[in-house]
Amino acid sequence: MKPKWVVAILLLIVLGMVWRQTVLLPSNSRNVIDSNFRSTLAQNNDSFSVVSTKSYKGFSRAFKPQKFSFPSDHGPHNRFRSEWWYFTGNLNATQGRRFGYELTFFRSALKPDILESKSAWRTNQMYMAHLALTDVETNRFYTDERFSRAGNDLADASDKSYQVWLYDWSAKTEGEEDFPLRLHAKSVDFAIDLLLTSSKGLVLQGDQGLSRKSPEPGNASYYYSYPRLETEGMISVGGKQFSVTGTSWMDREWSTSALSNEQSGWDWFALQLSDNTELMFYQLRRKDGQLDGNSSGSYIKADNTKLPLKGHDVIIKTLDSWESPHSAITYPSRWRLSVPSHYLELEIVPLIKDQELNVSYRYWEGAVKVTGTKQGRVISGFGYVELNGYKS
Amino acid sequence: MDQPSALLIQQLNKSYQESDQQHVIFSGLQMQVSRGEFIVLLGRSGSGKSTFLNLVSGIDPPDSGKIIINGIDITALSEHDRTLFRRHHIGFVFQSYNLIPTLTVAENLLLPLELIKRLTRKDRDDVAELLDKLKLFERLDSYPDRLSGGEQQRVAIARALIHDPDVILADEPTGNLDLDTAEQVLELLDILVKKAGKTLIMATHSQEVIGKADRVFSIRNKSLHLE
Amino acid sequence: MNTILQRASRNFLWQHPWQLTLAILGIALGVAVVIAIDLAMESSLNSFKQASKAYSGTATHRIIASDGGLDEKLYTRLRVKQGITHLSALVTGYVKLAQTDAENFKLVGIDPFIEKSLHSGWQNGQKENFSPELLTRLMTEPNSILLSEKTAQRLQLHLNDKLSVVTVQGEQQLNIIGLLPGNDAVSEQVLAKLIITDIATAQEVLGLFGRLSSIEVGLVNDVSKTLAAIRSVLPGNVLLVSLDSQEQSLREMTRAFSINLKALGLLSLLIGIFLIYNTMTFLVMQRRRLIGSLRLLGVTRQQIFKLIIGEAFLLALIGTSIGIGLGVALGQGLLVLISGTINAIYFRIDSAPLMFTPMQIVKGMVLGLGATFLAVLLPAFEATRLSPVKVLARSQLEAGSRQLLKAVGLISFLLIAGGLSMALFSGKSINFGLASIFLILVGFGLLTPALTLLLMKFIEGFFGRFLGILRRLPVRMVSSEISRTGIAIAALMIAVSATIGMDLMIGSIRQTVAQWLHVSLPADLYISVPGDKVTANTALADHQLKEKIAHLDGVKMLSSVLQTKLFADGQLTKTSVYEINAKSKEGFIFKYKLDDGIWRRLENQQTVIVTEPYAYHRAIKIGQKILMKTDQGALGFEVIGISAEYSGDQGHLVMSRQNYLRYWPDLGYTGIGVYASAGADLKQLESRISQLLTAQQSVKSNVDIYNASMELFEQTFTITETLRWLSAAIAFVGVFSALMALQFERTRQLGILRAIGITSRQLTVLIISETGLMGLVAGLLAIPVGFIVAYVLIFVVYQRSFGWTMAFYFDSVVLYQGLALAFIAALLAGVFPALKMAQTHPAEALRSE
Repeated sequence: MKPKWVVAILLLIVLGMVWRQTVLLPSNSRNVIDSNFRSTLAQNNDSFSVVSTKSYKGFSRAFKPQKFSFPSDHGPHNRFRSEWWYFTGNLNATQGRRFGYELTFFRSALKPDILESKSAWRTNQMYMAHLALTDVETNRFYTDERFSRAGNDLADASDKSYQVWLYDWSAKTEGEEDFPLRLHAKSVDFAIDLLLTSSKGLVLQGDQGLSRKSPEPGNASYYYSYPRLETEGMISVGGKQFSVTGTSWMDREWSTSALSNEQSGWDWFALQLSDNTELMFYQLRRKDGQLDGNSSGSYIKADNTKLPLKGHDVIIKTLDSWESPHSAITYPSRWRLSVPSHYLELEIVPLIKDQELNVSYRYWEGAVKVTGTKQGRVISGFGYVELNGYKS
Repeated sequence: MDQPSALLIQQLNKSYQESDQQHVIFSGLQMQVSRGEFIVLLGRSGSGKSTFLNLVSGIDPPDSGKIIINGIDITALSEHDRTLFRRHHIGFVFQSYNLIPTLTVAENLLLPLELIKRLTRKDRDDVAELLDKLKLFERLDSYPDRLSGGEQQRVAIARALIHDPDVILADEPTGNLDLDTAEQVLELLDILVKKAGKTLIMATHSQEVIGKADRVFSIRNKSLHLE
Repeated sequence: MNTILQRASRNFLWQHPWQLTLAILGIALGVAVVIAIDLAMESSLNSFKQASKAYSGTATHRIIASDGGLDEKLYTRLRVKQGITHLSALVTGYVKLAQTDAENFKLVGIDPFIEKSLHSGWQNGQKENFSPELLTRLMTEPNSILLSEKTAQRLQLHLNDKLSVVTVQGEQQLNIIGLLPGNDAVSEQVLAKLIITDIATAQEVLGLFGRLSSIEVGLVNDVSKTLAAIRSVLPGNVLLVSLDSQEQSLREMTRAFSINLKALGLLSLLIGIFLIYNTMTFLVMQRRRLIGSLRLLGVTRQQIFKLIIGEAFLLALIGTSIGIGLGVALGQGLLVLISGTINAIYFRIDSAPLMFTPMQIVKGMVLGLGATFLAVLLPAFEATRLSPVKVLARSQLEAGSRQLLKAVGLISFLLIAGGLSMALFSGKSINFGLASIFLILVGFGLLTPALTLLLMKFIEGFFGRFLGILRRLPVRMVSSEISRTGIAIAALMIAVSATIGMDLMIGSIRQTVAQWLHVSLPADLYISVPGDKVTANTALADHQLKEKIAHLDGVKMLSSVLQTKLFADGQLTKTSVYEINAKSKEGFIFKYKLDDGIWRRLENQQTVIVTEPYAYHRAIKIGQKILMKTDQGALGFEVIGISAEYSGDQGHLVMSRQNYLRYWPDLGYTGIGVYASAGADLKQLESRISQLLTAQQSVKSNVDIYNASMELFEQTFTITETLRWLSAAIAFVGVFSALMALQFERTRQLGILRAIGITSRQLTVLIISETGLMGLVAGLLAIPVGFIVAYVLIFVVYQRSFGWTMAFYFDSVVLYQGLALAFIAALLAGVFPALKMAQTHPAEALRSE
């Protein structure tokens, strides 16, 4: 064959192939699937309050102490704007490895009215949950969060038995009683599965459970705690499973408004001491840098009697600070806490420095170690500290 | 010589526009040719010999002046009428023969006849006879491209004469031919034209032709000069 | 040296602007049609992906159910019990605007507060994330919606205005709380047909309580584990499919349609190649003197070859660039037609923005340049063959090409025979079917010059004696310059025979469809009961409506149908669930003779009837079983009949209602057929029925339905018609350019004729006669070829594409039209060159060469 025919036929074949070739359109750049909810609500320091209305109108408020009844008060109080189920604890693996965890469910009413609809999705209740794990040995801090509306049983709490859940994260009673309570939450690279038993009873914080945050009436929450919950279960992190035991603390609080305009945030201490006593104290900070007189707390004796602490009863001195590499916020990082009336002198040290939750709502909440003296005798313990409202 | 002139040219001007330059070819050209005269035009290439023939045949109109053939001023005619005039009164012989390639030899000869009248059996016989005379009878149904140059030019000359025109215009008819063939063609042209008493105007370089001509003109300085 | 060389030839090119323009036009049009079809087809298919991206982000999989199947609690189970992340529940449905010609919008209900990567495109795409306040409002304010800025602008709506829509739930007011800006033209257009709202609002507006339309799944890691976890809780009638496979199946579904369209594009390109070939041959032939001289000067063959190829490259570059531009513009137009057709017969496309990628531009470039090289290859080799000493005369070239004709004749016979046997023996392949048509067309195209010569000889032999020499000239001109006229005639013949073939094919389909429609519309009135038949919610209302109609005076009996989708052999398949009465049985045309027992079996046994396209594509035979997903698991349904269907190429299943209700939920009806008693006033009955109907429902007579169906039929063939005319237009340009070249080459010859005394008017007539003759020949040859093409199209290509069996309906008008088309096209193409030549000054014509 002559070269021109060979060339022509080859060209024809190539053309045919090109013509048949479907050029697929790229469906733009495929986003990397990441597992965060961060952009759900833009990340800023008070995003959760951004989505809910600013006005108290239509919501119930905490004006005076009320009688609690259980299990219905473990359930949601949808007429209040916000509410939480707060679990923190210090755990010890059988191998001696130490962990801290936090599992919190937040409820937020985006609007006060409760809508009627045939749609199971129609709701104004929004749930948010935070899961954090402190792995002291590796100096790592894991966090994750979830969001969901309350509708279609995706997230909710029950007033029939102790149950609160958001997707597959839950705190649910195993039987008829409120305890033992099972905490179950897993993220991509860590998970907790814990059983909490109450060894000390419930403590009503503040004035019979009414915890005032500022002088203005109504700027208060209903607040009770289980200060010592014996905990056992499993933790998995970094592909390994750990059988753990330890103690947890549970806070329950609901309110419509808490801080006043002058207040900027709080430092919250929940310490479990080796003599079977506990100390809870929240120190409210003012925007002008002064300490707020409404700071308050309690000291719970071994027999579960509560001794209230006023702001002037407790002296907290910050010994060290830590600047977060993530947010450039400087947090206090070591404290000396004195309660002169109880001859209590404690030094509180974070188990690791970086326990900042960089989720859509940013705060520092971490496991701490406590050493000190009580009436001259050496005392120790573990606890959790929450630092809220710090800005860079 | 009281017969009207076969060709009378008066005050003829012709120029071409090329880009932005005006090329004057002829200026105030005058000429008178009698019936039956054999005129030879000499001139260098590009001097305007072909243009002159085109003007006389009415293919190209002049800028001004008159061209009167057999008493008809063709410069006064429309393009269409000039074509009709040409069809009757002019015969053309070109340097490159210019037979119609898609027609046979016979058809090439019949075409000019068909343009002026209905063809009859006699016309066909006449054509055959003529070709026989030209020793081209066996080429009757051949297409021109099968013929040699000399043969083609003989057919072309026959075509120029077939419809009995008054004036034959020949543009270097021997230019493409070798000497012998050229001789034959000239011979033929001479015989045919002379015999029929036609006027012949021929543009050529050929020195041999000059001897046969009644008058020889050359084109110089935009006009005709009798040699 | 080279630059002077190039200048020598380029100067020549500039002297033939017409030829250059036409050649460029040829490339441009050919490329444009191919590109346009590609773009429009791809964009239509891609719109599916784009749309899902607009409301489910980077989902990779999708959980779907047959109609009525997807319980919202499944989502809860997956999220809460199985702990599966990256899920997005969707409730979608179509709503009509209450005002302005009832435009349709897709209402998409989403849960805005899910994992970021499953967020809607508009949520992610914004520079800042979409404001939480707005999302909160969307969730907490019932009936609040987001609308695209563009749509709002078009409907003259502003923020906080109300949008009135009509749904099954009646007319509803939706509040526009946010306007979505498109990030780019694509997303803008995708959003333009969407109304975004919260999932609760979507359920309320559409009445889809308790149900989801789909669950979008984004698989991150542990893909197989997650898939298994999802599958473990899926009920029987629910399926997890990957979006890629779903897109693939859409692509598969439209494959036949796409191939047929692309073949039309190829036809255009083919004719474009002819145009380039023609021009380049002209340019080479015209320069044989120049090339000869260059060779004498010592220019090598390679240099000549490069010179010609270089020129062609320049032409191709310009032509292809223009072609791509044109193609994008044309694609925009075709997109409307193509997506319309896909909408009508395949699946719903909400909006299809035209998209293109650099790769597609590259494809167009390669095609344009490649086609040009192919076309120029022969003339370029021809040019190198030109002897430096002796420049070939045209006539000698002609003699050569006559020799070639004999060889070509043999090749063409082989091509035609090959094409026909390929058509017969290529099984179900659509590609081979179309390829056989191309082979047949090209074969006849190659045969055309030889046939033309024969015809010319015949004409002269037969009519010669009546014609004068002058009048014989056109015939002579056609045959003596066959290398040129033959190609023009062949191109015209191919275009016209393709036209005739397609006309006959469309006519046959039309007839077949019309007959089928006549038979399959046995009821007097048809009530359409639209709405999203996704839940059982509307079933009650449907039953009540049917009850009321049954009791109207003049109603003899009713039939009903529910058009739904069920999983059959793993694919969501259209299923018509019928309540059949004695008369409606006649509405089925069975492909095989069946006894009356079929109806009893259809009612009482686990059986289905399949339509012909369904059976064809899946090679299903009577007695075979189709596995269908039911709540009780997968069950085999025996195929007991194959019935005719011409409304699409996917086919569907037919099931009795009694049978259906045993396994699937009652979703009401989508249509009710009313059989009037003898002598009943249909008009009156119609108006009485329409009083019982809601705004969305309608009643139509069988005549109206027939007309509407035929209209839809015509609509689906609009794209075919359009493309056919495009290729005809390119062929016209080709013939025009060939004739221009032809006349130009003849300038001197025409000058001689003028010198001999032929008037310009005679010359015009001469040239037009020639071109008319060429058209006539093309038309005459196109008739039998068109017939063959029609046969192959109907009995091979369309049967394979659609799975339809059709009768061949012969319409003689088509033939006359084809003949007239060829004749008039050639005549028209001849007018301009004829006038141009007639006006050319004979003195100048003589000087040429």
